[in-house]
Amino acid sequence: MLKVEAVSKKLGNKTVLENCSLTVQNGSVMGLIGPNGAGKSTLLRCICDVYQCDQGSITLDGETIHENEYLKQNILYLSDDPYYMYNATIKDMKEFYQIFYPQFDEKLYEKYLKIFKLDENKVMNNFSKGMKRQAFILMALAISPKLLLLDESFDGLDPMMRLLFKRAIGECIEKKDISIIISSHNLRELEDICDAFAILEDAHIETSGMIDDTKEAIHKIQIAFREEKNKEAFESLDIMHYAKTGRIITLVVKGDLEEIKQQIQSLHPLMMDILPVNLEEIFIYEMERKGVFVNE
Amino acid sequence: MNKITTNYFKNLFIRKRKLLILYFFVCFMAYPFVMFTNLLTSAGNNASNITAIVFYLALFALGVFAIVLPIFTFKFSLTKRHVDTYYAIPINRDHLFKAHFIAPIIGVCVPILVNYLIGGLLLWANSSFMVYLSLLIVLCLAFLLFVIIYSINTFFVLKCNNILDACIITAMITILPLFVYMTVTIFLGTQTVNNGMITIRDIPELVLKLLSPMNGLFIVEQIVRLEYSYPIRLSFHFGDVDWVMLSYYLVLGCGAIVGAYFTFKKKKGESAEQLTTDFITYPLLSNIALACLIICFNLMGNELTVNILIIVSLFVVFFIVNGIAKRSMKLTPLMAAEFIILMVLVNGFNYVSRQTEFFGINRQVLDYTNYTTINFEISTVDYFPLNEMKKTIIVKDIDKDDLALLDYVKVLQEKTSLNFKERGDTYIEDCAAYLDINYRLGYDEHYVHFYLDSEDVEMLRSLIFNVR
Repeated sequence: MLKVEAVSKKLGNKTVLENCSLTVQNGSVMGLIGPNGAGKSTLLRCICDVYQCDQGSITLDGETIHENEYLKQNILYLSDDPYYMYNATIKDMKEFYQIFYPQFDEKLYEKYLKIFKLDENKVMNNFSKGMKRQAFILMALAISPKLLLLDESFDGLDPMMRLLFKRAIGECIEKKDISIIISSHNLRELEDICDAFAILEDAHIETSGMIDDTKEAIHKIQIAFREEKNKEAFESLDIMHYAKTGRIITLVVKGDLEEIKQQIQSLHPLMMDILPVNLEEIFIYEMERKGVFVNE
Repeated sequence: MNKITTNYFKNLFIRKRKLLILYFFVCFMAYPFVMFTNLLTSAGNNASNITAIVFYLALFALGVFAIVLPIFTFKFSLTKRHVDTYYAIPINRDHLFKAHFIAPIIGVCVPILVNYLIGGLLLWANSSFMVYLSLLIVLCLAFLLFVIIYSINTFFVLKCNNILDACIITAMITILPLFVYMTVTIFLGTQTVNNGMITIRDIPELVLKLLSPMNGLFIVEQIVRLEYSYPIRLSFHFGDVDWVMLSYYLVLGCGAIVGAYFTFKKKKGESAEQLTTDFITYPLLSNIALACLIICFNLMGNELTVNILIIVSLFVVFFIVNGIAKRSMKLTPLMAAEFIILMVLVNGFNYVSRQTEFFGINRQVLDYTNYTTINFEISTVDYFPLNEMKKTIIVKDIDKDDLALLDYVKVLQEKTSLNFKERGDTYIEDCAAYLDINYRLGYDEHYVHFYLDSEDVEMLRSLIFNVR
């Protein structure tokens, strides 16, 4: 289990992370989302010891990660633009990673090499961006570390590859109980893979939790009334988002669905529809509530 | 080192295997192959010549490698892409530093050593085992100096935060000693008169030796000499080696290794690709360079318009250097203040030095008691020596007339110093003759040269011939 406790990090004079805490259970996939510059990559770098946090602690299974080379054998970080040696082939990179990760699974490597249709003897310099990502995802799958940190690692993949990758991740979690933290802007993709999420905004973790639990607690409701109603009429509700188009009011409300329904029913709506919310909407409404942007 | 580090260390060589094979091949072609060809064509007669030339080439190559390799070796700590991988992989900083620091040393030295051991056998056959062994010792000394220079450059590279700065700083620390040498020469040339104590030749050279460990390679180079007797043979002059200077370089090298190690351990991942702000990089080196420039373009004694031109030019240089360091061409009050402070300090030092006649040193004369003989010789303005105006003082037999003559040397020195202070030149308009004084103690000699007016000539004549 990964535990990030009250981590703060300054880059120059700017506070990039402040008092951030999160927990990632074994076998869990966490989506790390947030606007550009929120500190997602910094948090991932702090976890894998590229950056040292100024305050707080990061532990994996109770042990501190910093300068712990044996523990770090269980962690793999793939940045958005991973490094490969000049003129290196996938095979060279495999040899490089094999040194540091004794658990490197040659069979898995061969398997995914075929699935991804990559030539291990070709120089990576000539690969497209997507192919390079595939190559590194291949390494990650072959290593299957206890904690895999992916920084926008599958944003450049084509839909087929994304599907393959999702399946491969599913297999890895099932067989090897790995935990994954994925930072991405593609929230619809994340929703399919992740079971937990954390929203980073302005150096803080604003919201985190299990996606299903959150979805159960956030409701998108479309209602219409005979007479004009404005936002004040719904004051008793914990509204995340309010939009009005003609007579139709769209509300995104936090809380128990039955209680919300009862309160709305007391206002005698002409119609009331409960619509599903997705991770992207949750993110947008959270950002809206924090005043990061106005969604009108 | 644990298994991971050992394997990684091996991997560093495997990764560069093609380059290493090529380098080994070049080393082989440069020495064993040429030696073997020489054996076939001229029965090994030129073994000593070839060895000496290859040895000098190897020294040059070691110098170049010592400058270039730290940038290539530690560039992984200077770019974000590298840092994201190297700091995240399961190897601690301690082992990462050791592996990356040691690998290039082995990669550079072992091929040279192995090829010397092979090719040198022919040298051994043509001369003696002692020559073979001596060259091996000198080669090891060259390797030691390579490691020292490499360590110092590594230390500076690790103080940088990006590759461009690493290149600039490496170039600066290589060139700056020469620049300082030139500046000290100019400074002493404009501030001091020769009184036999301050020899302009010695101080800049000492400064250069102290600042540039590259000089160590020249020391090593001077050990090996070709004796042009028949047959031509190699001779080794270990007695001429400046061991004090070599020991000093060794201390510098050890300090640099320790410094580089701790700098690397403390280096933050986030510093990669950021501006280099460490004091001993741009702030120190560029200010030394600028101070040197200010000294070179000494404002004293120039016309106002020339001085303004110099100040503006220096400021432009300062502004450009700051622009490179800060990657911003923005003039800030702090920059202007820094420039003014530097100008005031350096020119203030120049001024004080001139006004105090180089802190009183220009007026001082050599202590004659440290020498056995002192020769006086007066020549006419066309440097024709006047036979009757020569005198030699044997210090152990010194009498009061000699003391009077030596006292007059002080007067001459004071006049010369004052003349230099006022006009920046020791030559006098009404020069009637020259006085050359030679202080001697065995092989140790010091010369002092004075311009004399007719009054001085008469005074010296009376002192030399005891005419009151």
